[in-house]
Amino acid sequence: MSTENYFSVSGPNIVHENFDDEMVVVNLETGCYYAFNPVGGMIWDCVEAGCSLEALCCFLRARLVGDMTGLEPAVRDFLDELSNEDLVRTGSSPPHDSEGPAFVEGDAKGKLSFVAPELEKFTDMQDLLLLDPIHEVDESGWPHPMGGDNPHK
Amino acid sequence: MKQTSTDNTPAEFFWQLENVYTGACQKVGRQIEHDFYVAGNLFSLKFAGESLARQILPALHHLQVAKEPVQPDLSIAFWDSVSTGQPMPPPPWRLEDCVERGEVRGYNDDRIRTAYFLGSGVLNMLDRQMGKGVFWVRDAATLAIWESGAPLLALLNWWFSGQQRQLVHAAAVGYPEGGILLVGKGGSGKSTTALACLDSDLLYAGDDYCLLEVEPEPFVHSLYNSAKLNPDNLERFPALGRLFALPSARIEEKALVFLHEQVPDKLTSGFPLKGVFLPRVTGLVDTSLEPISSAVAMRALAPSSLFQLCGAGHEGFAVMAKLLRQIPCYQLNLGTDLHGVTAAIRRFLSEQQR
Repeated sequence: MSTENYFSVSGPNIVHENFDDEMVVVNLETGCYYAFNPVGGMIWDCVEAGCSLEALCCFLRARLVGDMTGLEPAVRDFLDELSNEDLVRTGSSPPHDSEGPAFVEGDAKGKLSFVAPELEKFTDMQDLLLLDPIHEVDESGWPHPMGGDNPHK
Repeated sequence: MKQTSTDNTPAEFFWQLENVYTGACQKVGRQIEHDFYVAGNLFSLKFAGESLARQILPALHHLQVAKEPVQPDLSIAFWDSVSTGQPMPPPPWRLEDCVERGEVRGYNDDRIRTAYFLGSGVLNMLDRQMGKGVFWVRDAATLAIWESGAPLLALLNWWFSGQQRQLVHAAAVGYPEGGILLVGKGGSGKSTTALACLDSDLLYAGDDYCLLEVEPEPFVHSLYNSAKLNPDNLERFPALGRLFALPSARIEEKALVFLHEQVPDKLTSGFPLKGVFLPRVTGLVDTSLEPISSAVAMRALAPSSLFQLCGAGHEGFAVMAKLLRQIPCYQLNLGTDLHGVTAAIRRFLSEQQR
Protein backbone atom coordinates (compact mmCIF):
# COMPACT_ATOMS: atom_id res chain seq x y z
CA MET A 1 0.00 0.00 0.00
CA SER A 2 1.74 3.21 -1.08
CA THR A 3 1.64 6.41 0.90
CA GLU A 4 0.10 8.34 -2.02
CA ASN A 5 -3.06 6.27 -1.85
CA TYR A 6 -6.23 7.95 -0.64
CA PHE A 7 -8.88 5.98 1.15
CA SER A 8 -12.65 6.18 1.01
CA VAL A 9 -15.68 4.16 2.11
CA SER A 10 -16.32 1.58 -0.59
CA GLY A 11 -19.96 2.43 -1.28
CA PRO A 12 -23.40 3.51 -0.10
CA ASN A 13 -24.16 0.05 1.28
CA ILE A 14 -21.74 0.63 4.14
CA VAL A 15 -23.36 2.38 7.13
CA HIS A 16 -21.71 3.27 10.40
CA GLU A 17 -22.28 4.96 13.73
CA ASN A 18 -19.61 6.02 16.19
CA PHE A 19 -20.29 5.41 19.85
CA ASP A 20 -17.80 6.52 22.50
CA ASP A 21 -16.29 3.10 23.01
CA GLU A 22 -16.94 1.45 19.66
CA MET A 23 -17.64 2.10 16.00
CA VAL A 24 -20.38 -0.12 14.55
CA VAL A 25 -20.14 -0.66 10.79
CA VAL A 26 -22.68 -2.63 8.74
CA ASN A 27 -22.33 -3.87 5.16
CA LEU A 28 -25.89 -4.01 3.84
CA GLU A 29 -24.80 -5.99 0.79
CA THR A 30 -22.91 -8.84 2.43
CA GLY A 31 -24.78 -9.11 5.74
CA CYS A 32 -21.55 -8.73 7.72
CA TYR A 33 -21.19 -6.22 10.49
CA TYR A 34 -18.18 -5.03 12.47
CA ALA A 35 -17.09 -3.50 15.75
CA PHE A 36 -13.99 -1.31 15.75
CA ASN A 37 -12.14 -0.24 18.88
CA PRO A 38 -11.79 3.55 19.41
CA VAL A 39 -8.52 3.82 17.45
CA GLY A 40 -10.14 1.81 14.65
CA GLY A 41 -13.05 4.25 14.81
CA MET A 42 -10.67 7.21 14.43
CA ILE A 43 -9.15 5.57 11.36
CA TRP A 44 -12.65 5.02 9.93
CA ASP A 45 -13.40 8.72 10.42
CA CYS A 46 -10.26 9.48 8.39
CA VAL A 47 -11.31 7.03 5.67
CA GLU A 48 -14.69 8.70 5.50
CA ALA A 49 -12.93 12.04 5.11
CA GLY A 50 -10.88 10.70 2.19
CA CYS A 51 -7.44 10.85 3.85
CA SER A 52 -4.15 9.53 2.57
CA LEU A 53 -2.12 7.20 4.78
CA GLU A 54 0.25 10.06 5.58
CA ALA A 55 -2.57 12.40 6.62
CA LEU A 56 -4.22 9.64 8.58
CA CYS A 57 -1.08 8.85 10.59
CA CYS A 58 -0.49 12.56 11.18
CA PHE A 59 -4.01 12.91 12.51
CA LEU A 60 -3.63 9.94 14.83
CA ARG A 61 -0.28 11.15 16.21
CA ALA A 62 -1.91 14.46 17.07
CA ARG A 63 -4.86 12.80 18.78
CA LEU A 64 -3.18 9.96 20.65
CA VAL A 65 -0.62 9.73 23.42
CA GLY A 66 1.91 7.08 24.40
CA ASP A 67 4.48 5.09 22.46
CA MET A 68 3.56 5.33 18.80
CA THR A 69 6.56 3.63 17.20
CA GLY A 70 4.31 0.91 15.80
CA LEU A 71 1.56 3.24 14.66
CA GLU A 72 2.13 3.27 10.91
CA PRO A 73 2.48 -0.52 10.43
CA ALA A 74 -0.58 -1.05 12.63
CA VAL A 75 -2.58 1.43 10.57
CA ARG A 76 -1.43 -0.22 7.33
CA ASP A 77 -2.49 -3.64 8.63
CA PHE A 78 -5.87 -2.27 9.68
CA LEU A 79 -6.44 -0.60 6.31
CA ASP A 80 -5.50 -3.86 4.58
CA GLU A 81 -8.09 -5.63 6.71
CA LEU A 82 -10.73 -3.02 5.82
CA SER A 83 -9.82 -3.40 2.18
CA ASN A 84 -10.04 -7.20 2.34
CA GLU A 85 -13.52 -6.83 3.80
CA ASP A 86 -14.48 -4.52 0.91
CA LEU A 87 -15.22 -1.73 3.36
CA VAL A 88 -12.75 0.74 1.87
CA ARG A 89 -11.26 1.43 -1.52
CA THR A 90 -8.15 3.26 -2.52
CA GLY A 91 -7.52 5.81 -5.20
CA SER A 92 -4.62 7.89 -6.41
CA SER A 93 -6.43 11.18 -5.77
CA PRO A 94 -8.68 12.41 -2.96
CA PRO A 95 -12.24 11.07 -3.44
CA HIS A 96 -13.80 14.48 -2.85
CA ASP A 97 -12.91 17.99 -1.77
CA SER A 98 -11.76 17.28 1.72
CA GLU A 99 -8.88 18.31 3.85
CA GLY A 100 -9.33 15.36 6.15
CA PRO A 101 -11.00 15.16 9.54
CA ALA A 102 -11.17 18.29 11.64
CA PHE A 103 -7.95 18.68 13.54
CA VAL A 104 -8.53 19.59 17.17
CA GLU A 105 -5.53 20.08 19.42
CA GLY A 106 -6.78 18.74 22.72
CA ASP A 107 -5.52 18.51 26.24
CA ALA A 108 -3.22 15.49 26.57
CA LYS A 109 -5.30 14.32 29.52
CA GLY A 110 -8.31 13.89 27.26
CA LYS A 111 -6.44 11.97 24.59
CA LEU A 112 -6.56 8.23 24.05
CA SER A 113 -3.48 6.12 24.55
CA PHE A 114 -2.33 4.46 21.36
CA VAL A 115 -3.34 0.82 21.03
CA ALA A 116 -3.41 -1.13 17.80
CA PRO A 117 -6.68 -0.64 15.89
CA GLU A 118 -8.87 -3.73 16.04
CA LEU A 119 -11.82 -5.00 14.08
CA GLU A 120 -14.27 -7.69 15.17
CA LYS A 121 -16.35 -9.25 12.40
CA PHE A 122 -19.82 -10.76 12.82
CA THR A 123 -21.42 -13.02 10.21
CA ASP A 124 -24.27 -14.49 12.24
CA MET A 125 -26.98 -12.65 10.31
CA GLN A 126 -25.81 -13.23 6.77
CA ASP A 127 -28.51 -15.84 6.20
CA LEU A 128 -31.14 -13.08 6.47
CA LEU A 129 -29.91 -11.77 3.12
CA LEU A 130 -29.84 -15.08 1.26
CA LEU A 131 -32.15 -15.24 -1.72
CA ASP A 132 -34.56 -18.16 -1.82
CA PRO A 133 -33.47 -20.29 -4.79
CA ILE A 134 -36.45 -22.63 -4.45
CA HIS A 135 -39.18 -21.35 -6.72
CA GLU A 136 -41.11 -22.10 -9.86
CA VAL A 137 -42.06 -19.57 -12.53
CA ASP A 138 -45.72 -19.42 -13.56
CA GLU A 139 -47.04 -18.94 -17.09
CA SER A 140 -46.98 -15.14 -16.81
CA GLY A 141 -43.37 -15.10 -15.65
CA TRP A 142 -43.77 -14.62 -11.88
CA PRO A 143 -41.64 -16.83 -9.64
CA HIS A 144 -43.51 -18.33 -6.73
CA PRO A 145 -42.21 -20.26 -3.75
CA MET A 146 -42.21 -24.02 -3.49
CA GLY A 147 -41.67 -23.80 0.25
CA GLY A 148 -38.51 -22.62 1.86
CA ASP A 149 -37.01 -21.16 4.97
CA ASN A 150 -38.56 -18.20 6.66
CA PRO A 151 -36.37 -15.20 5.84
CA HIS A 152 -37.73 -13.45 8.97
CA LYS A 153 -36.03 -15.44 11.68
CA MET B 1 -38.66 -14.50 -15.24
CA LYS B 2 -39.43 -13.52 -18.81
CA GLN B 3 -38.33 -10.16 -20.11
CA THR B 4 -41.29 -8.35 -21.53
CA SER B 5 -41.34 -6.37 -24.72
CA THR B 6 -42.79 -3.35 -22.94
CA ASP B 7 -40.31 -1.10 -21.26
CA ASN B 8 -42.38 0.13 -18.34
CA THR B 9 -41.12 2.82 -16.03
CA PRO B 10 -41.75 2.08 -12.33
CA ALA B 11 -44.67 4.55 -12.29
CA GLU B 12 -46.19 3.09 -15.44
CA PHE B 13 -46.04 -0.41 -14.02
CA PHE B 14 -47.65 0.82 -10.81
CA TRP B 15 -50.53 2.40 -12.75
CA GLN B 16 -50.91 -0.82 -14.70
CA LEU B 17 -51.25 -2.74 -11.44
CA GLU B 18 -53.90 -0.33 -10.16
CA ASN B 19 -55.98 -1.27 -13.22
CA VAL B 20 -55.34 -4.96 -12.55
CA TYR B 21 -56.66 -4.46 -9.01
CA THR B 22 -59.80 -2.76 -10.36
CA GLY B 23 -60.27 -5.76 -12.65
CA ALA B 24 -59.87 -8.15 -9.70
CA CYS B 25 -62.57 -6.28 -7.74
CA GLN B 26 -64.92 -6.44 -10.72
CA LYS B 27 -64.34 -10.19 -11.06
CA VAL B 28 -65.12 -10.98 -7.41
CA GLY B 29 -67.90 -8.39 -7.28
CA ARG B 30 -66.85 -6.74 -4.05
CA GLN B 31 -64.21 -4.66 -2.33
CA ILE B 32 -63.55 -4.91 1.40
CA GLU B 33 -62.17 -1.76 2.98
CA HIS B 34 -60.89 -1.12 6.50
CA ASP B 35 -59.14 1.85 8.10
CA PHE B 36 -56.27 1.74 10.57
CA TYR B 37 -54.29 4.31 12.49
CA VAL B 38 -50.61 3.49 12.64
CA ALA B 39 -48.48 6.05 14.48
CA GLY B 40 -50.94 8.82 13.69
CA ASN B 41 -51.15 7.95 9.98
CA LEU B 42 -54.50 6.88 8.55
CA PHE B 43 -54.14 3.80 6.36
CA SER B 44 -56.95 2.46 4.19
CA LEU B 45 -56.56 -1.22 3.27
CA LYS B 46 -58.68 -2.34 0.31
CA PHE B 47 -59.13 -5.98 -0.66
CA ALA B 48 -60.52 -7.60 -3.80
CA GLY B 49 -62.55 -10.28 -2.03
CA GLU B 50 -62.05 -11.98 1.29
CA SER B 51 -59.16 -14.34 0.66
CA LEU B 52 -56.30 -11.99 1.47
CA ALA B 53 -58.35 -9.93 3.94
CA ARG B 54 -58.66 -13.01 6.16
CA GLN B 55 -54.88 -13.42 6.15
CA ILE B 56 -53.79 -9.81 6.54
CA LEU B 57 -56.32 -8.11 8.83
CA PRO B 58 -56.01 -10.11 12.09
CA ALA B 59 -52.45 -8.91 12.85
CA LEU B 60 -53.58 -5.26 12.54
CA HIS B 61 -56.96 -5.63 14.25
CA HIS B 62 -55.97 -3.68 17.40
CA LEU B 63 -55.22 -0.59 15.28
CA GLN B 64 -58.48 -0.67 13.31
CA VAL B 65 -60.81 2.34 13.47
CA ALA B 66 -64.26 3.08 12.08
CA LYS B 67 -64.20 4.11 8.44
CA GLU B 68 -63.00 7.70 8.32
CA PRO B 69 -64.69 10.24 6.00
CA VAL B 70 -61.30 11.73 5.14
CA GLN B 71 -58.62 11.01 2.61
CA PRO B 72 -56.22 8.38 4.05
CA ASP B 73 -52.51 9.13 4.22
CA LEU B 74 -51.84 5.81 2.53
CA SER B 75 -54.22 3.55 0.64
CA ILE B 76 -53.10 -0.03 -0.12
CA ALA B 77 -54.79 -2.39 -2.59
CA PHE B 78 -54.59 -6.17 -1.94
CA TRP B 79 -55.45 -9.00 -4.29
CA ASP B 80 -54.36 -12.43 -5.38
CA SER B 81 -54.78 -14.00 -8.79
CA VAL B 82 -56.06 -17.45 -7.81
CA SER B 83 -59.10 -16.42 -5.75
CA THR B 84 -60.05 -13.47 -7.98
CA GLY B 85 -59.27 -15.09 -11.32
CA GLN B 86 -57.52 -11.90 -12.36
CA PRO B 87 -54.26 -12.61 -14.21
CA MET B 88 -51.15 -10.50 -13.63
CA PRO B 89 -49.21 -8.86 -16.45
CA PRO B 90 -45.70 -10.29 -16.77
CA PRO B 91 -43.08 -8.64 -14.56
CA PRO B 92 -41.21 -5.98 -16.53
CA TRP B 93 -37.89 -6.88 -14.87
CA ARG B 94 -35.62 -9.90 -15.10
CA LEU B 95 -35.23 -12.52 -12.39
CA GLU B 96 -31.67 -11.39 -11.72
CA ASP B 97 -33.03 -7.92 -10.91
CA CYS B 98 -34.65 -9.38 -7.75
CA VAL B 99 -31.89 -8.92 -5.18
CA GLU B 100 -31.39 -9.07 -1.42
CA ARG B 101 -34.20 -7.93 0.88
CA GLY B 102 -36.69 -8.22 -1.98
CA GLU B 103 -35.47 -5.10 -3.75
CA VAL B 104 -36.06 -4.98 -7.51
CA ARG B 105 -33.20 -3.30 -9.34
CA GLY B 106 -34.30 -0.52 -11.65
CA TYR B 107 -37.78 -0.24 -10.12
CA ASN B 108 -36.98 1.96 -7.16
CA ASP B 109 -36.74 5.72 -7.49
CA ASP B 110 -37.65 8.79 -5.46
CA ARG B 111 -41.33 8.20 -6.09
CA ILE B 112 -41.86 4.46 -6.58
CA ARG B 113 -40.60 1.65 -4.35
CA THR B 114 -40.77 -1.97 -5.49
CA ALA B 115 -40.04 -5.28 -3.77
CA TYR B 116 -40.66 -8.83 -4.88
CA PHE B 117 -39.98 -11.48 -2.26
CA LEU B 118 -38.88 -14.77 -3.75
CA GLY B 119 -39.42 -16.53 -0.41
CA SER B 120 -43.12 -15.68 -0.22
CA GLY B 121 -44.00 -14.65 -3.79
CA VAL B 122 -45.34 -11.32 -2.52
CA LEU B 123 -45.10 -8.16 -4.63
CA ASN B 124 -45.20 -4.77 -2.89
CA MET B 125 -45.12 -1.39 -4.60
CA LEU B 126 -45.50 2.08 -3.13
CA ASP B 127 -46.19 5.37 -4.87
CA ARG B 128 -44.96 7.79 -2.22
CA GLN B 129 -46.18 10.83 -4.08
CA MET B 130 -49.76 9.61 -4.40
CA GLY B 131 -49.89 7.78 -1.05
CA LYS B 132 -50.84 4.50 -2.71
CA GLY B 133 -49.53 0.97 -2.40
CA VAL B 134 -50.20 -2.48 -3.82
CA PHE B 135 -49.83 -5.96 -2.36
CA TRP B 136 -50.17 -8.95 -4.66
CA VAL B 137 -49.53 -12.65 -4.27
CA ARG B 138 -50.38 -15.39 -6.73
CA ASP B 139 -52.45 -17.47 -4.28
CA ALA B 140 -53.73 -16.10 -0.96
CA ALA B 141 -54.29 -19.63 0.31
CA THR B 142 -50.55 -20.28 0.33
CA LEU B 143 -49.52 -16.98 1.92
CA ALA B 144 -46.53 -17.61 4.18
CA ILE B 145 -47.17 -17.63 7.93
CA TRP B 146 -44.74 -14.74 8.47
CA GLU B 147 -46.70 -12.56 6.02
CA SER B 148 -49.84 -13.11 8.13
CA GLY B 149 -48.00 -12.45 11.39
CA ALA B 150 -46.22 -9.30 10.21
CA PRO B 151 -47.85 -8.09 7.01
CA LEU B 152 -46.78 -5.01 4.99
CA LEU B 153 -43.27 -4.75 6.45
CA ALA B 154 -41.79 -3.31 3.27
CA LEU B 155 -44.68 -0.91 2.63
CA LEU B 156 -44.68 0.35 6.23
CA ASN B 157 -40.91 0.73 6.25
CA TRP B 158 -40.90 2.71 3.01
CA TRP B 159 -43.76 4.89 4.20
CA PHE B 160 -42.35 5.76 7.60
CA SER B 161 -38.71 6.13 6.60
CA GLY B 162 -39.35 9.67 5.39
CA GLN B 163 -40.81 10.62 8.79
CA GLN B 164 -37.70 10.08 10.95
CA ARG B 165 -39.28 6.82 12.07
CA GLN B 166 -37.89 3.33 11.63
CA LEU B 167 -39.31 -0.16 11.71
CA VAL B 168 -37.17 -2.36 13.91
CA HIS B 169 -36.87 -6.05 14.60
CA ALA B 170 -37.75 -5.83 18.28
CA ALA B 171 -40.42 -6.59 20.86
CA ALA B 172 -41.89 -4.00 23.22
CA VAL B 173 -43.73 -4.18 26.56
CA GLY B 174 -44.57 -1.53 29.12
CA TYR B 175 -47.08 0.86 30.62
CA PRO B 176 -48.74 3.90 29.06
CA GLU B 177 -46.16 6.11 30.79
CA GLY B 178 -43.15 4.08 29.71
CA GLY B 179 -41.84 0.74 28.54
CA ILE B 180 -38.87 -1.15 27.15
CA LEU B 181 -37.69 -2.35 23.78
CA LEU B 182 -36.44 -5.95 23.60
CA VAL B 183 -33.77 -6.39 20.93
CA GLY B 184 -31.76 -9.25 19.54
CA LYS B 185 -31.75 -11.75 16.73
CA GLY B 186 -34.34 -14.50 16.33
CA GLY B 187 -34.26 -17.02 19.17
CA SER B 188 -32.73 -14.61 21.68
CA GLY B 189 -35.84 -14.60 23.88
CA LYS B 190 -37.71 -11.50 22.70
CA SER B 191 -41.01 -13.28 22.05
CA THR B 192 -40.85 -15.40 25.18
CA THR B 193 -40.19 -12.32 27.31
CA ALA B 194 -42.96 -10.29 25.66
CA LEU B 195 -45.46 -13.13 26.04
CA ALA B 196 -44.46 -13.74 29.65
CA CYS B 197 -45.54 -10.16 30.36
CA LEU B 198 -49.13 -11.03 29.44
CA ASP B 199 -49.44 -12.61 32.88
CA SER B 200 -48.59 -9.27 34.51
CA ASP B 201 -50.00 -5.73 34.31
CA LEU B 202 -47.54 -4.88 31.52
CA LEU B 203 -49.00 -4.09 28.10
CA TYR B 204 -47.91 -5.66 24.82
CA ALA B 205 -46.87 -3.61 21.78
CA GLY B 206 -45.31 -6.40 19.72
CA ASP B 207 -43.02 -9.40 19.83
CA ASP B 208 -41.13 -9.12 16.56
CA TYR B 209 -41.47 -5.79 14.74
CA CYS B 210 -42.27 -2.31 16.05
CA LEU B 211 -42.01 1.26 14.82
CA LEU B 212 -39.52 3.58 16.52
CA GLU B 213 -39.43 7.33 16.71
CA VAL B 214 -36.91 9.44 18.59
CA GLU B 215 -38.39 12.96 18.35
CA PRO B 216 -39.74 14.62 20.45
CA GLU B 217 -39.00 11.70 22.76
CA PRO B 218 -38.11 8.03 22.28
CA PHE B 219 -41.37 6.25 21.56
CA VAL B 220 -42.38 2.84 20.22
CA HIS B 221 -45.53 2.29 18.17
CA SER B 222 -47.23 -1.09 17.97
CA LEU B 223 -47.70 -2.57 14.50
CA TYR B 224 -48.98 -6.11 15.06
CA ASN B 225 -50.89 -7.97 17.75
CA SER B 226 -49.53 -11.29 16.52
CA ALA B 227 -47.31 -13.46 18.67
CA LYS B 228 -44.92 -16.15 17.59
CA LEU B 229 -43.17 -18.87 19.52
CA ASN B 230 -41.02 -21.81 18.61
CA PRO B 231 -43.19 -24.91 19.11
CA ASP B 232 -40.71 -26.31 21.67
CA ASN B 233 -41.35 -23.26 23.85
CA LEU B 234 -45.03 -24.23 24.04
CA GLU B 235 -43.92 -27.25 26.03
CA ARG B 236 -41.34 -25.38 28.08
CA PHE B 237 -43.82 -22.69 29.09
CA PRO B 238 -47.30 -24.23 29.47
CA ALA B 239 -48.69 -20.91 30.67
CA LEU B 240 -47.95 -19.47 27.21
CA GLY B 241 -49.23 -22.59 25.51
CA ARG B 242 -52.85 -21.77 26.31
CA LEU B 243 -52.61 -18.71 24.05
CA PHE B 244 -51.83 -20.95 21.12
CA ALA B 245 -54.82 -23.26 21.62
CA LEU B 246 -57.17 -21.00 19.62
CA PRO B 247 -58.65 -22.37 16.40
CA SER B 248 -57.08 -19.46 14.50
CA ALA B 249 -53.57 -20.30 15.71
CA ARG B 250 -51.19 -21.63 13.10
CA ILE B 251 -48.50 -24.05 14.17
CA GLU B 252 -45.87 -24.47 11.47
CA GLU B 253 -42.17 -23.71 11.74
CA LYS B 254 -43.38 -21.19 14.34
CA ALA B 255 -46.62 -21.09 16.30
CA LEU B 256 -48.62 -17.94 15.45
CA VAL B 257 -51.56 -16.45 17.34
CA PHE B 258 -53.41 -13.12 17.31
CA LEU B 259 -53.69 -11.67 20.79
CA HIS B 260 -56.66 -9.39 20.06
CA GLU B 261 -58.80 -12.53 20.13
CA GLN B 262 -57.82 -13.57 23.64
CA VAL B 263 -56.26 -10.68 25.56
CA PRO B 264 -57.40 -7.46 23.82
CA ASP B 265 -57.02 -5.45 27.04
CA LYS B 266 -53.30 -6.28 27.08
CA LEU B 267 -52.64 -4.57 23.76
CA THR B 268 -51.42 -1.00 23.40
CA SER B 269 -50.75 1.25 20.43
CA GLY B 270 -47.46 2.35 21.97
CA PHE B 271 -45.61 4.11 24.80
CA PRO B 272 -42.52 6.22 25.54
CA LEU B 273 -39.34 4.17 25.74
CA LYS B 274 -37.33 4.13 28.97
CA GLY B 275 -34.82 1.37 28.23
CA VAL B 276 -33.50 -1.14 25.75
CA PHE B 277 -33.08 -4.75 26.93
CA LEU B 278 -31.06 -7.43 25.19
CA PRO B 279 -32.39 -10.81 26.42
CA ARG B 280 -29.99 -13.69 26.94
CA VAL B 281 -31.10 -17.19 27.91
CA THR B 282 -29.03 -18.26 30.92
CA GLY B 283 -30.61 -21.48 32.16
CA LEU B 284 -30.50 -20.01 35.68
CA VAL B 285 -33.68 -19.63 37.72
CA ASP B 286 -33.34 -15.94 38.53
CA THR B 287 -33.48 -12.99 36.17
CA SER B 288 -31.00 -10.12 36.39
CA LEU B 289 -30.06 -6.93 34.57
CA GLU B 290 -26.54 -5.85 33.56
CA PRO B 291 -25.76 -2.50 31.96
CA ILE B 292 -24.36 -2.72 28.43
CA SER B 293 -22.97 -0.06 26.12
CA SER B 294 -25.03 1.60 23.41
CA ALA B 295 -22.73 0.00 20.84
CA VAL B 296 -23.47 -3.52 22.07
CA ALA B 297 -27.21 -2.78 21.93
CA MET B 298 -26.73 -1.32 18.44
CA ARG B 299 -25.14 -4.57 17.26
CA ALA B 300 -28.16 -6.45 18.60
CA LEU B 301 -30.75 -4.10 17.11
CA ALA B 302 -29.47 -2.68 13.85
CA PRO B 303 -28.19 -5.58 11.73
CA SER B 304 -31.21 -7.81 12.26
CA SER B 305 -33.49 -4.87 11.45
CA LEU B 306 -31.57 -3.60 8.44
CA PHE B 307 -31.03 -7.01 6.84
CA GLN B 308 -34.73 -7.92 7.02
CA LEU B 309 -36.33 -4.66 5.97
CA CYS B 310 -36.43 -3.65 2.34
CA GLY B 311 -35.13 -0.12 1.89
CA ALA B 312 -33.63 0.28 5.36
CA GLY B 313 -30.28 2.08 5.28
CA HIS B 314 -28.45 5.15 6.51
CA GLU B 315 -31.49 7.00 7.83
CA GLY B 316 -32.83 4.04 9.77
CA PHE B 317 -29.39 3.28 11.17
CA ALA B 318 -29.14 6.86 12.41
CA VAL B 319 -32.60 6.70 14.05
CA MET B 320 -31.60 3.56 15.94
CA ALA B 321 -28.29 5.08 17.05
CA LYS B 322 -30.05 8.23 18.24
CA LEU B 323 -32.42 6.14 20.35
CA LEU B 324 -29.63 4.12 21.92
CA ARG B 325 -27.69 7.27 22.84
CA GLN B 326 -30.73 8.63 24.67
CA ILE B 327 -31.86 5.75 26.88
CA PRO B 328 -30.08 3.16 29.04
CA CYS B 329 -29.31 -0.30 27.64
CA TYR B 330 -29.15 -3.54 29.59
CA GLN B 331 -28.58 -7.22 29.09
CA LEU B 332 -31.60 -9.08 30.45
CA ASN B 333 -30.29 -12.36 31.83
CA LEU B 334 -33.43 -14.44 31.46
CA GLY B 335 -34.31 -16.78 34.29
CA THR B 336 -36.37 -19.91 33.84
CA ASP B 337 -38.98 -18.51 36.24
CA LEU B 338 -41.06 -16.30 33.93
CA HIS B 339 -42.54 -14.38 36.88
CA GLY B 340 -39.00 -13.29 37.71
CA VAL B 341 -38.61 -11.95 34.17
CA THR B 342 -41.68 -9.74 34.41
CA ALA B 343 -40.74 -8.69 37.95
CA ALA B 344 -37.34 -7.45 36.70
CA ILE B 345 -38.98 -5.41 33.94
CA ARG B 346 -41.61 -3.96 36.28
CA ARG B 347 -38.95 -3.08 38.85
CA PHE B 348 -36.86 -1.28 36.22
CA LEU B 349 -39.85 0.70 34.95
CA SER B 350 -40.91 1.56 38.47
CA GLU B 351 -37.42 2.94 39.19
CA GLN B 352 -37.60 5.03 36.01
CA GLN B 353 -40.76 6.71 37.29
CA ARG B 354 -39.10 7.98 40.47
